[in-house]
Amino acid sequence: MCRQISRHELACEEAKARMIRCCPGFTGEALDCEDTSGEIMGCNQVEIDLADAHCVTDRSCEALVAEGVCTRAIQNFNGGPSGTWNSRICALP
Amino acid sequence: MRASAAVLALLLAAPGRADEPEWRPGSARLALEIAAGGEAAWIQYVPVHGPTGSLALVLAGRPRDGAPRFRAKFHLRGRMGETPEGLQARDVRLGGLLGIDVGRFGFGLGPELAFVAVERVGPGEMSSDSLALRLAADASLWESPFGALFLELTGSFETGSRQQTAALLVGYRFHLR
Repeated sequence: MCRQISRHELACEEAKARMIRCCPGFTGEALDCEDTSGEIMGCNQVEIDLADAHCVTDRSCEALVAEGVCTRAIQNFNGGPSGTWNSRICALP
Repeated sequence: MRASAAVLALLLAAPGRADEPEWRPGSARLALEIAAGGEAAWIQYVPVHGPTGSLALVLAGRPRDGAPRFRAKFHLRGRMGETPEGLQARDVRLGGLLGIDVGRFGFGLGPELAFVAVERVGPGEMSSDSLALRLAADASLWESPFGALFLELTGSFETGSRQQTAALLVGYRFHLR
């Protein structure tokens, strides 16, 4: 558990809130932004990494839908039986 | 704590207002300040803006014509705010500033304890408590024997969430002594 507000956690929560607002059908049930790695590990182990989180928050709602970010987010993070797992949903390698 | 007590004793040891020939602007040596305004902040590079307020007790040295005088300020501050995606953020500060008064202007620098919390999407919140460093400058806009209306510009840097703040407040200083 990280004792301070980490950059990764806050970016993840912002991205999650944006996808709930912009992506119809996205509930984010399985997207946990709480970093359980601890201070020693650097407090950077969340399910959406920094590049992906910034990619989401930098895009408009229309762009998130059009570029398939919402579809990948629903596949990965809506809970229940998931579809194809992508390690990233927005900032694709 | 011992340093604060020493500063307090030093400020109070000097002759009081009864020895002053008459009231003049900036002559109060103990005052209560209440102020409100707006604050812009960046928590881990995420902007959070919102209303802020502060309550402070000010102790000042004996006024001498034209010469700067030392002052100590102990304050409680708070801010409510929202991130761009609507997450609520709270900020509470408890601290002290040491500085000087020069005419209508005042400057201060000091440490404070910062308690910061940002709500999560869903239940729970992220929080941090850490030390911050604050800088402040103020100017009296209008003075009377009972108090002064002032404008304060202040900023801080907090270590825990790397939060930086900048605020502009308008307040009233009640002269107590």
